[in-house]
Amino acid sequence: MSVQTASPNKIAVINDVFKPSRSLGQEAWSRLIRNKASVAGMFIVGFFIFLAIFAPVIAPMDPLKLHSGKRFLPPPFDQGATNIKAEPEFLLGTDSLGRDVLSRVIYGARVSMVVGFLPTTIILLMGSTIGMISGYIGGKLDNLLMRLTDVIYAFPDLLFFIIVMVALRDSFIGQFMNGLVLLFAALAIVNWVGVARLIRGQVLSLKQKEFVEAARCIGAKDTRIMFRHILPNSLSPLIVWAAFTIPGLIITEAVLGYLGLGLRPATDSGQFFVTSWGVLMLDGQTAINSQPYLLLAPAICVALVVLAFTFLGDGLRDALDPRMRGTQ
Amino acid sequence: MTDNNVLLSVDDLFKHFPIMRGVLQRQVGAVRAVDGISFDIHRGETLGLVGESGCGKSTTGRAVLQLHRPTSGSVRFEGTDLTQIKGEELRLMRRKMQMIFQDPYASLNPRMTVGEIIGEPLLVHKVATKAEADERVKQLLELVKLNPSFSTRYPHEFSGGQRQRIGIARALALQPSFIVCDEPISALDVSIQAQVVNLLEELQNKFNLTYLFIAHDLSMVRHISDRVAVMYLGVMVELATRDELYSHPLHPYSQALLSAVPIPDPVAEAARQRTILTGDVPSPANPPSGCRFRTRCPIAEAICAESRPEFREIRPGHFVACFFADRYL
Ligand SMILES: Nc1ncnc2c1ncn2[C@@H]1O[C@H](COP(=O)(O)OP(=O)(O)O)[C@@H](O)[C@H]1O
Ligand code: SF4
Ligand SMILES: [Mg+2]
Repeated sequence: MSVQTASPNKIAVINDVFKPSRSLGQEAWSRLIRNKASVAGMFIVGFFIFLAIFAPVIAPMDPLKLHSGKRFLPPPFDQGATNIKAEPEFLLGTDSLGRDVLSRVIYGARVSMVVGFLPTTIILLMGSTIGMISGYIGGKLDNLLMRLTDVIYAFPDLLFFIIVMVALRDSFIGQFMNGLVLLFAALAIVNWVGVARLIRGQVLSLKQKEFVEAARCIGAKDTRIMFRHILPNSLSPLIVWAAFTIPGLIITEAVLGYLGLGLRPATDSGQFFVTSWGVLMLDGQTAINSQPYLLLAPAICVALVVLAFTFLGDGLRDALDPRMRGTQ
Repeated sequence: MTDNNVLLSVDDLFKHFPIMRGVLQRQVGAVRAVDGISFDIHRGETLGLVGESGCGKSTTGRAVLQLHRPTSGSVRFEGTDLTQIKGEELRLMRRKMQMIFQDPYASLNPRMTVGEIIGEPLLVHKVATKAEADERVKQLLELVKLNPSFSTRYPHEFSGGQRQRIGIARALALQPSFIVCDEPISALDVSIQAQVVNLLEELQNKFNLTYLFIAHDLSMVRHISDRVAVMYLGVMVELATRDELYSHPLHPYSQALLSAVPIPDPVAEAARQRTILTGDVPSPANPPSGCRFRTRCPIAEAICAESRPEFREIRPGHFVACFFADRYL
């Protein structure tokens, strides 16, 4: 049998042929950029990413340099209660050792951005692989994996972080990269379960969809069905999940830093991670009355980033699935 | 079953879905979606399969194509028992048998372009290079009377009828000999149902296709079917040529379905006797004893609860499963 071409006059031209064609992703993007809060969120996140990358260029001073005789300088715009005179080049004042606060806050963005994005990538890969296998294969393996997620889910997160940090901080892995690797591992172990459950649910419902059945009917193999049909249709909830999880990770790092369980202090400014906002807040709280900016500056940064991601997440959820508007 | 003309032969097909309960997921029962049916389909013919929603039509179609593995029974396609093959062997057989789905919105992957959807079967079976596939996609779009330039668009840009044509083009891509059409027009606007049926008929003539055409009422299959099978609650109750079934339905259920079909002539419409179906279809997890239809049958008697009527050939080529079918002969 051979396919013959129908005569042109029989071709139904019901749609406007000249309308530009857009994928679901492109349509979602155009909805997203119409949401002002999300656009603001994107700009704020973009701004902090920029700070993180170009900290050495942007920061006015070396964040580790001890300016002798210039400890506890107040910021020039707010002399406050101290009788120490502010100096104009220290825009946010100095800390207890005479280091420039602004430069330290700018360098602190590095940890928060990396803690926000890197573990999230690991978590997404790990969680979606396990969730996909669990949902697609089903049976005993699925049962086993889901009980494992129950156990991890039931364990209090912060307690887990504290135990891991206290136990392993002084081990080899705990010292690697100022302790960042250990932190990432702990964050990944706690958070992959959420992704795995999310993806498993998606797979279970998509597996029943007729287009997946159609793919089996044309003879597509399992790997193709998973990667070409199921995964692309599970991405929306994953993206939304990431937007809401990233601020959680940033807060966790800040809390651990504040508890003294976060990054180890850097010894020279050649290191990529000099300090984090959590560590800065810990430093700042000792002088809360005389030097509120030591605590306020990093705290405002954390709040701003978290708020920005939340706005972005809200917008993404509405844009990716208009039916979900106003839920969560 | 040595008849050369038989393309597909289904024998005593069962498909039960286990019902699992509790934390330990123990099987507590089964949905007897298809409960022992047999039929042949001849090369080039259209067998209509009719019954109320939930009676097991889709499950039959999927079990035939091995999209649901049958619980038991055999499905011989060109002499090969599909229930006995698996893996690569089955995957290769899929080139010869395809399906058109009921829901034109759910049956196309929303993340793929029309061209990717229609071309996928060609790439999956490596019967065409990327460039050849693109060319074939254009031909296939023309074949189903869509504009070939639609191949770069996404499914959400199309109407239900257009999507169904895209689904038809995908089913035709591998040049199959057999297609299960699972209620291909039920979800469509009445005004375009005829267009799609006409297209399917045209394609059948052009490529000598064999159809299993599923519908939930008798009016939809009348035009296209050569023979019609009526299903009720997992079993087949009547099977006959189209003209025979529409003029002399012998099973009370077929008669009831037929009296729901409007007659265009108002005088005849007013004069005819109607058998109105009352009550709901019982659950296929717990079907009535004896004849499945007895709970709704207007002429049921005691024997109908005791034993199951045999699906017998009451006249040449006319099969029926009712103790009292002879009354209507
Ligand atoms: N995958 C499945 N798992 C469990 N039960 C199913 C499944 N598919 C269909 N069923 C059940 O089998 C029966 C027949 O369904 P179906 O074949 O879809 O009917 P129809 O196509 O005639 O409307 C229904 O009771 C339905 O709920
Ligand atoms: S066997 Fe009895 S219950 Fe079944 S259709 Fe015939 S008369 Fe009705
Ligand atoms: Mg159905």
